[in-house]
Amino acid sequence: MELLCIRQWISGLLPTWLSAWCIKPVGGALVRQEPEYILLALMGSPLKKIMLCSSEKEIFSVEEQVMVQHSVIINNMIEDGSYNHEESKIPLDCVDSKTLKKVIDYCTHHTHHHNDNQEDLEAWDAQFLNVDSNGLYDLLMAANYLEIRNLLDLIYGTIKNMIKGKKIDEIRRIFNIKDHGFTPEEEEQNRKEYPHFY
Amino acid sequence: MDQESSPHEAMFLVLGYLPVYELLLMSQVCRSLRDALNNDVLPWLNILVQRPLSSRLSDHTLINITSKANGGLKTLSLINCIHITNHALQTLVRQNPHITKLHIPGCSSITPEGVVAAVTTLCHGSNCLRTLRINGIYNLNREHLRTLASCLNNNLQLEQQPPLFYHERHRERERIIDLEACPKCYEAREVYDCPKRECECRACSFCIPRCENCGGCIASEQVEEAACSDILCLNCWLHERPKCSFCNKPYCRQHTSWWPNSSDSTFVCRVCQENSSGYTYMDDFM
Repeated sequence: MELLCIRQWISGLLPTWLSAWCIKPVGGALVRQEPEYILLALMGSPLKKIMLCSSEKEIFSVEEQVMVQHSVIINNMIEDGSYNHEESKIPLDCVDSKTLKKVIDYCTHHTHHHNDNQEDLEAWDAQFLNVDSNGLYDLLMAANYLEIRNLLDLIYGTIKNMIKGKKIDEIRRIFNIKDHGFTPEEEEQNRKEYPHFY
Repeated sequence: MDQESSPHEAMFLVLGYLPVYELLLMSQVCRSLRDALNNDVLPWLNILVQRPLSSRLSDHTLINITSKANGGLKTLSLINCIHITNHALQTLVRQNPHITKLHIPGCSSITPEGVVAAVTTLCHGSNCLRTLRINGIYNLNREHLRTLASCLNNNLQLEQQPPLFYHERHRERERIIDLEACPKCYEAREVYDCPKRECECRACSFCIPRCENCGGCIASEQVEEAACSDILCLNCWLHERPKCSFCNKPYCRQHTSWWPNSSDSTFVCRVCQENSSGYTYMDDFM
């Protein structure tokens, strides 16, 4: 609906005494406050939801506030007006349902609990990332695509800790690298050059 | 084709976030990672050198590493790299004038003049150095800090830095420069604000002793020692649990992990344990 139509419609609904209230002092002069915002404030602003569509065509409904706060991509989509709340879904073809659900979980928790103390949040994050390495990769690719800065930093930190202090063979095992692609001569050369990595 | 043999795409994304030691490690893990590291610029735009490489990094190697950024180096963190000299710093700053973060704490071979020259280059024109860490560079004085502040002030607002609290000094704060001239002794030090309400004392930790747990200033007669030899204010000392069964001292919050995992509920601090058993703790100093 056109914004103008909405405004007229709402003004028509307001009783006269309330319309008169839609005045607020701004810098000494009295200015009329837009009536639809007053009405929304009185009703309690409805939690606007948006639809996200995974690669498996499953639809997830999320509070707009939650996703806009965390994902730069979704924030841009909503801000430039290309998203119509009534009809459209945001298609996320590179994120499968399982991963999308986890991402939504993360954003929702961090929006609702952002006033918690640091230790509780860190404990929740640790529990959240308690997944196998495939799950971790999927989360990383999804967070990278949606540009969710704090989830990205969290996952990078986790992977960095998984690498730190390990030897080459352990790393190949952890990250499931079956074939390292070096010839036997090259591999021997590597071991001679950097013995403390092995 | 099954992607099992080569590493997942995600591993390439991680490369840009690894310290240099781990980058070298990853270059040995498999060919595709090595090729990525040799050919791509992205993993080399944020350089972090810490233990165990820091004491082994030479000027020559550092120039080699920073040249892989092709002039686009964004952040440089050299933690306690004692062999790096002014020469290497000037060279890499000239080659990479768009550095936004320069953290060189404990790089004791770099002199204040070298720091001033590097920061002047990095704040020249539209370049913007955003954060600088120089705690541990010897012989810094007020004049140097004043020059640095005026360079940085061209592009940034130094007065609007968030306060620095003693108990949070290890956490990464969004401060522009870590050192200031202490209002009491005028030395170039980390100057801490007081988190206590209505207390506005500001000084270095040598001039005003502060509590390790809460960061508050402590009057000299109220200094309490924890079992780890850090100092606590009376309030934190009383509230900190557990306390050693022998000497009745607690550990400060940072060192709580030093309590041994004993099945019974007695707690004996390391000092008392060493005294009673003759065993000495060898720590891996973080």
